[in-house]
Amino acid sequence: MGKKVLAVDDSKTMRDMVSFTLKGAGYEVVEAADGLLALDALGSNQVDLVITDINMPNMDGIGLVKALRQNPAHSSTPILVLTTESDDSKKNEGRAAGATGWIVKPFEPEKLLKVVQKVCG
Amino acid sequence: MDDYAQFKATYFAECAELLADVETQLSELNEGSGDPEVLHAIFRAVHSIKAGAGAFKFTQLATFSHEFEALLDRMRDGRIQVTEPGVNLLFRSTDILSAMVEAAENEENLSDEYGKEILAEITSMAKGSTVDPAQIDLTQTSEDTATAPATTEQTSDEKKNYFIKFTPKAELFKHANEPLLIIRELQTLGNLTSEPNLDKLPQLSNLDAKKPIFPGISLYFQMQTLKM
Repeated sequence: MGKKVLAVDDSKTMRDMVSFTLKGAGYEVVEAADGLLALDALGSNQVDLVITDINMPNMDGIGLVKALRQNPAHSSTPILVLTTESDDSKKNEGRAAGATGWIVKPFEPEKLLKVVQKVCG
Repeated sequence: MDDYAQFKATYFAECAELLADVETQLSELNEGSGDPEVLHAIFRAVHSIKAGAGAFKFTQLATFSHEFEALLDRMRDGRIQVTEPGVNLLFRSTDILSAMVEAAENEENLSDEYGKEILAEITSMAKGSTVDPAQIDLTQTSEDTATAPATTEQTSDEKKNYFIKFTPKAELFKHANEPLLIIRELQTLGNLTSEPNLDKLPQLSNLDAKKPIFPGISLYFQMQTLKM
């Protein structure tokens, strides 16, 4: 069974793209449309990687990263922040919250896969 | 990103929903809604449209939505005051955005000039200064500069926020003016953060050792109320 990835984005288009890319490479993908739904989907279940957008309703990506880092069950889960924001302030905010890495949209499928494989194998 | 062509239909369906939502939120804004979530929702919608446009290489749409998003970002965090002309510009920008989405969906080419006038208005408003930077006279006192009628927002009875674009003319240094003196003076009046406008720096090959370079800075200044 492939490694499990949680893809979080309020855009269905973006979730579909990430899922399509990762499923094609053998990953199991669970999707959520915002940070709160991601926390609901996770519960105490482990995933091998979380990929999250920043700008989302209800709970944004930074809030999700912080919530996961405060939860002992997910405090060491790799988290990649996936967003069109490329300014340093957002990157720094993500890093400070505990994100593992950063991918700027739009992304090439190969690049996304390469980073995902590097982070969670 | 051709691998993702199959997701275009999803994207255009999503755009239709997002644009309808933007119209609804803009109507609320126009009716005077002070709910900050209204601007956040509009920002997220434009942000999502931009992300897809970038993915599918709809260049004109991606460029326009990027600038539109930048203006919304400044409005939602308070750097730009939401005024009636501002809301009007958001409505007109949404019309352009809708037309660009429709053209992309129908694989129609819009002229390169399409939307450029609105884009110029967006850029101008996003830069946030009602003061023409070229008109700043560096012979004025630091106090004049600090209280210039730049975009302002009163956040409380105690403090006022100013966004100042400071782009002096090249002749500045000929008259022995020193911009740092003004900046230092501002620092004594409140909280000041600055950001250089690095995009104005000339290419290395165009540098002239005899000409001073001052590409300008953006100053975010919060002035404490002076107690007499």
